[in-house]
Amino acid sequence: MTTTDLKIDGGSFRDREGRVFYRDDRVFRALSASALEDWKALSETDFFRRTSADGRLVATKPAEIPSADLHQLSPVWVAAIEHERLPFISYPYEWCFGQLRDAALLNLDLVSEALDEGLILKDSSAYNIQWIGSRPVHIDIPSFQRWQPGMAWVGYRQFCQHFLYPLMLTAFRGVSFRPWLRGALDGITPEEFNRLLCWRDRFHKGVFSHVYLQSKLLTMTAKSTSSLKTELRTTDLGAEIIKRNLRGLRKAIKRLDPGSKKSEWSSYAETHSYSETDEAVKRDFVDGAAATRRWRLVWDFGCNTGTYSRIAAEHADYVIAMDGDDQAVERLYSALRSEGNERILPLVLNLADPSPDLGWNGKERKALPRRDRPELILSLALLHHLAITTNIPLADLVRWLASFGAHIVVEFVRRSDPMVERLLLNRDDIYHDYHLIEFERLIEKRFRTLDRTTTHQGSRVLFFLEPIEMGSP
Amino acid sequence: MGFRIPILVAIALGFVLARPAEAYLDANTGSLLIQLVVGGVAGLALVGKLMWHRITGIFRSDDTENDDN
Repeated sequence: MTTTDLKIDGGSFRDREGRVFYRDDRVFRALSASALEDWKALSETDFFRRTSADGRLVATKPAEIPSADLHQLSPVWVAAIEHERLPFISYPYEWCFGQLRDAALLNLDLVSEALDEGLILKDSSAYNIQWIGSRPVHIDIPSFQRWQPGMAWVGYRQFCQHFLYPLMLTAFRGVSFRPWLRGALDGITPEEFNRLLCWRDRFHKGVFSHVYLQSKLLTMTAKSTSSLKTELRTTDLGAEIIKRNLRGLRKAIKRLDPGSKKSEWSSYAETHSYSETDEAVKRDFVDGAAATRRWRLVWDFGCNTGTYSRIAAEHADYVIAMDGDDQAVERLYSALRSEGNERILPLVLNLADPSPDLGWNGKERKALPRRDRPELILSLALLHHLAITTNIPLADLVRWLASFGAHIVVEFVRRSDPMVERLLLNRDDIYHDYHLIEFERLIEKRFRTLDRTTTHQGSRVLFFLEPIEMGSP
Repeated sequence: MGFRIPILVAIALGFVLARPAEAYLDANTGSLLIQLVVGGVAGLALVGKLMWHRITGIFRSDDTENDDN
């Protein structure tokens, strides 16, 4: 093996004690001498065995990487560990409220349980939590370090910025946390969040101390020349002090609620007026297309509450179910979580404005298409929204769909459909390209049609498409 | 209201820690302090201890400076 086999991850540089790198399809983490000692301490605990077995901690084992190779990456690395490869990497600004809340609770539980065995999480980044379907998993092993009396939970402030404040923002103010987290990878600062709340919000559990008081004390102590962290090391600061804080945070977070349970789309599956026959034709078409082979990864664009994601999941290793409507995704996540589903990952994504490259050098957090390539895409009852609501030209939409190089099940909703009529109700009809005949002309250039059917009295047409680049001999 | 005392103690300690300085920015002191404030009786006792140290330290630090010089 040569070091050219090793590919460093662009987003794991913040902790200088460990660094993620890849070789082939495997995920490793290089460790410094100090991180190696922490890993040894962690790996010998019941906590590690228990949380690895129940899936809350990513499965990890020592790796056989020659030290010369590690040294070529950097002389600070003395060993490496190998992690289970996760099916997909997602970010907190793509999660629904329930996902961020469950990720927060997992973080708190891990800090608390680790403390029982002389360990602590040195940071509490929301990016350290990933998903296997609806199961949250902590992936950053070097975050666990040996704890001794006098050590505070240094990740507390990060926990507030990444989890507590975003959740409170949605629960108390009814404002989505996603644009805030996407706008600032370090989350919402105590000072900012204190300004966002009104005086009534201070009566909610946890707000006075974790928001108001913390922001004031941060301002008051900003110019302090002495390190309280170092000073605390000389004290007998015990685990119980930290655990009391953790319990308080847990209680405060458990009470938080995403607010309105219904949106235009979250109850669409029950409230639309389509006939059962039409729906059955659509389900059969999707099932027939999905059943043509086994798919490694399916992306369901505009998944709503996941009816077709579930059908695809029967023929796929993993499905990413995406929708711009957070309440619809909330419902899907809640259902998947309660049934313990580990094959469908629900995400809140506006496809007209999907997650871009973010962070240092634009490499810390990756844009959606750079994270993986789907083999099959479902795009059902979606294109008319992108074409009419967000004014994306039909030719651009077809080019975008073709750019994934995947098979596609796509639904074209014609102008005669009540949904399109509704979209055009208060708009000037500038959508001269939005016609079935134009859509068919565009897809012919890039796809081969494997199957086609018409539903809803001819107002909707379903296509199963194969990309020409892949499918042609 | 049970939380009044911890709040008053924390604010008082904040003032003690907020001595003017020209060195580095230590933005996490307030966050560490809050952890003690919400950490129950033991946390508050620690806050009290730190406060006492700080107050007596004001007088001690002058001696240290003289020693260094």
